[in-house]
Amino acid sequence: MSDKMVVLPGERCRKAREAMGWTTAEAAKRMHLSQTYLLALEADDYERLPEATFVKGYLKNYARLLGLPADEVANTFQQMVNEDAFDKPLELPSLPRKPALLGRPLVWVSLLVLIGVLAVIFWPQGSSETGSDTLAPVEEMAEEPEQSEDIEQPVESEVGEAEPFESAMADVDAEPSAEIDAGQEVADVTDETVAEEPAVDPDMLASNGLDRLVLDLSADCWMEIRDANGRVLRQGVKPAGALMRVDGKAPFSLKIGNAAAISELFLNGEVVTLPTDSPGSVVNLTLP
Amino acid sequence: MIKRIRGMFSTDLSIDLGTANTLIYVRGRGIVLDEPSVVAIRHHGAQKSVAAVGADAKRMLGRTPGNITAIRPMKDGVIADFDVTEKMLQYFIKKVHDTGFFPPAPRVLVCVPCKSTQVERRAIQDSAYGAGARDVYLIEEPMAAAIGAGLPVEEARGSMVVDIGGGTTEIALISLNGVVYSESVRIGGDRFDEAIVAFVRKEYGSLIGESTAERIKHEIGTAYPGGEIREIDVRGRNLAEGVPRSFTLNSEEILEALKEPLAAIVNAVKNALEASPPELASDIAERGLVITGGGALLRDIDRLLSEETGLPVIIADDPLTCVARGGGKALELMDSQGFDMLAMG
Repeated sequence: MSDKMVVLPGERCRKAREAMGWTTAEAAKRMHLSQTYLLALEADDYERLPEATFVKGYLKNYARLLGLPADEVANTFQQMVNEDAFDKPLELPSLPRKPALLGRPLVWVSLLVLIGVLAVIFWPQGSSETGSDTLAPVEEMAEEPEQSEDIEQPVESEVGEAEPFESAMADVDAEPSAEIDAGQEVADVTDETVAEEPAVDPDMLASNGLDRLVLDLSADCWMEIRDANGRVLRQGVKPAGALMRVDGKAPFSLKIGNAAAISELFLNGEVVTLPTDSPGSVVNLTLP
Repeated sequence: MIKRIRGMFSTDLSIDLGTANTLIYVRGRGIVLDEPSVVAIRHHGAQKSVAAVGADAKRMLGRTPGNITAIRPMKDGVIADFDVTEKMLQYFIKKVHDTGFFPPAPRVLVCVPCKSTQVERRAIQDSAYGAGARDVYLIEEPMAAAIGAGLPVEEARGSMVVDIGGGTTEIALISLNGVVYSESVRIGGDRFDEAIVAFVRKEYGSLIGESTAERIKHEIGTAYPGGEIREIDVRGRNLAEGVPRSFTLNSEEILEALKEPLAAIVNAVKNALEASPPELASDIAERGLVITGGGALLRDIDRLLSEETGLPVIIADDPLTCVARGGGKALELMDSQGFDMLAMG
């Protein structure tokens, strides 16, 4: 932008110095600056000078020494720097960009977090009233329209497959730990896949020497279930709405953290009533 | 967790918590606050409440009735009154966040004098947390000043910065993002004011307040003889007569008054140069040293240092805001390049 019109700051200083009749050495001495730098300054050769901060400072000092308006000279230089942008340290490259890049995702992330927080705040209020009642139908609705009949069969066949395996293991009776694993596997499979009604007849289990506990949970509940040998069959917090089947040797010893969470409890198909169903009370029970 | 969410709506701040002025720099917005570090406290019996902070409180300094005390919670660059500093920071942080929806929880970078003790640093950190900051980083003042002045701190090249603040003068030799040598003398603008008060009392037998002394310093103060001689009319209470009297001071007299504190600063600079490793000393001899801070505005202070040391001395652009701007840049660098120059977490 009209470089020719502007008197370069170094040149302006040189003219003023010459007018005062000083040599460069003399001026350099007064400025406490090396003569090389002074010459570079007068020649406006900024490549040979340090960072813009220094150059601007030198120019200011030099102009003041020569009786020139220091700020004006320094500003001319500043404008040149801004136009040419030859000197990186002044603007610390890439800095202005980064915050902009960083800023936008931050806004999005914060919005997402806000939505998440709102969801967390309002979710339990909606679902706690209806609880398991709403959840179960939703699951049914999702699966039933397409394969409501199919669903029963695979389950039964799975159980059917598992049972012979179980009994075979029982017959072998070689490793107790294997028995537990097998028992738990069966239980896990049934937990996940069995539909509402307990379809397996207890007689079949009885023939294997096993008993079955069925628990229907209406709320999250911690429990521990052990079989006759004291082996832990279930332990931990079970979620609301879970229909749990536990197979093992009776008598079972149950420890239930929240009696009110058990909506139904069956032992080999027979209803068992808990001694209490007040919320938060712990039940220790041996069945039968 | 809540703090983090609030943090999303807050901006990163760089705070120059100075003895005389507190400056806050916000990324992308520049300097957003520059107010005196003064708090006016109103007493209701045993209860205390904040009456004013910043410029309003400064006007009250030395002019308060019995139930209000205007205090400067920072002294010599460190916290003298913890609770009041916390209140002040809280006020300032709130003032720069005018969104109002969430209480602000910004990340804050605070500058500390390089010779401050661990206890003093901890106090500053705690008061920033107390004022609602989410994260507090501390940076040594001369480092921030050097970055703010645009010195090449990251290069393997010595840069010397002399930061003359209100309470302290910090001199540091910086190379490769680290402080090689630092020197801190508890002499700054406040001591200049005190020296002027003492001088006027001695020479004119009159008592002037510190605000008046500061005004004198700003208007006619000079650090090196040979400049234009200026005059100022001031009024003070004559000690002998007990009534206010008017008299005229000139810059020569003020130079005389400031001789002692200025000599101490020159001495500290010389000590720093003496302690510099030779390679770095030669870098400084070649390019010179840079003055920042409010003290740089004292007329001809660069000439004084230049003549005394025989080195080129330059005054940074906008010396008052160097530290705050440098702190802001350090915060940016920290994010973008994992920049590691913060004194401690």
